[in-house]
Amino acid sequence: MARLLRFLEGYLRIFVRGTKADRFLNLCALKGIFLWNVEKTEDGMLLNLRWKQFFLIRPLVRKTRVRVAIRKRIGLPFFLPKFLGRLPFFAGAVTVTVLWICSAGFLWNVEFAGNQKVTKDQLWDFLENRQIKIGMPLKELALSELEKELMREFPDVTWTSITVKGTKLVVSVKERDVPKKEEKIRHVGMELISPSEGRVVSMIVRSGVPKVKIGEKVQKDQVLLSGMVPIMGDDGTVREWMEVDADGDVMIERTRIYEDSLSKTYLKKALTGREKKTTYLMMGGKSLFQKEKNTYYRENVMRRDMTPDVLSRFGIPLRVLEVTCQEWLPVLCVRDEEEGRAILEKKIASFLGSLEEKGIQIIDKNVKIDSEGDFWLLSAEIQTIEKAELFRDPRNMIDEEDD
Amino acid sequence: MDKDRKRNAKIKKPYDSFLSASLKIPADVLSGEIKLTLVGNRQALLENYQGLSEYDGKCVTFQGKRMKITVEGEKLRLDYYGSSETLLRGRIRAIRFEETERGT
Repeated sequence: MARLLRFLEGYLRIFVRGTKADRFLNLCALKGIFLWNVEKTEDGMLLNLRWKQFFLIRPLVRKTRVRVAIRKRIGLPFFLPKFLGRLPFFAGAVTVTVLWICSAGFLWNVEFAGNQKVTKDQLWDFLENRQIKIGMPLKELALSELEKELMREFPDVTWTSITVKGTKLVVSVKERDVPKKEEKIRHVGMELISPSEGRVVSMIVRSGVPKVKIGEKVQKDQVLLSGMVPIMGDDGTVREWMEVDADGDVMIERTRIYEDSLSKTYLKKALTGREKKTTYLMMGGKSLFQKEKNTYYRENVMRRDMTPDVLSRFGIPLRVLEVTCQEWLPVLCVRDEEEGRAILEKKIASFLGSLEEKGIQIIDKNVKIDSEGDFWLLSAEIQTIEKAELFRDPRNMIDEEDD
Repeated sequence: MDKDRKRNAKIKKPYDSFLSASLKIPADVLSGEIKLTLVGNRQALLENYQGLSEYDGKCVTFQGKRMKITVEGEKLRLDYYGSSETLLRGRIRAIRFEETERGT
């Protein structure tokens, strides 16, 4: 503390030389001149004194006939004039400080954590739809409201936390591990119908009245299980109809047709070898010094984030982006039969895989690949056994008929 | 011998020490003797001295009311020097006391 006060007041380091230097010290003490850091050197002594008291030592110097020389001027009164002499620097420092303090109240960065299914772009769109943008004042953020809206907007998000860390908005989410089952809207009295033309191969009825038999051919939208159960009277007539939820496993054998085509010629992007790398300094999604523009007429653009860690760590909203443009030219290529077949077989395999994923049993398939003009044509007949899962409300049908 | 007797007669008896002892007042208050406080052999605080009579890096002599105190050592430095108090720092090797006539 004393050091700080001395610095603020300003002091001198002086050199005293003479035969009566000791006496000079005593006289200074008697006059109330405070001395400190008194050190003996080979030819004199060095000591500190307040710069205002320096003017008081003149008579003592004369009296003791010592020689005094100032070695150093230390403290604010000596430092400040030098500093003020560099006014632009001083103004710059003040401006930077003021800007820094002012910018601390704004949002400069957004970070997303924990999202896998919900993409960053989706979250960005969500924020932008709620007028949350880079550069907005932090006090305008309603975080708890935002959390609730995010939960509503994305059903797969089971937990969310939106916090402000410095000037950064951190959106943390946790997603559902098990996909949410789609709830089937089923009402009492609904009937199970056939999704397509086919043949019933097996049937397990849990509730409702079966309208078809095993082995029977069915048409599309034909009722398989009815939700209206007749309650018979003693005389054999229907006394009343009881509405139940038609439920059962009705397996239908059907034929699926899959057709695809592939051109024998195609345009290939052939790189010419010419490429250009440009580095942009980005702020809030916009380039600061130069605008992004197309370098070549046809080009592949690759963007690479080269932002140093230190910028994102301190929440500085600057990004360094390296953009590589590669020129390409379209070249007409011809596929041979082997290549064409391989591509089409891959496509049909992918289609069959998607059927199996849905729980559809494939019992037979007949795939043909033919050449016709400039195309390879694929046609496949796939025999499948699949479960009827389509429900219909018969009352709606009646309403429609009435209309 | 006569000269020594005359000289000893000039040295006044320390009545103030007797007084301070009987009144139970700290001795340095009444007598005005140099008060020396040592912190190990690195630091010495001196109070109630009259002045500095000799100072170099290896020896510092303070003049008191009735005695001179000489502090010997290495790299002796006055941390601060005021009219009634000073702090001496350095490696203190020895302290010598030398009784003098009053005021000399």
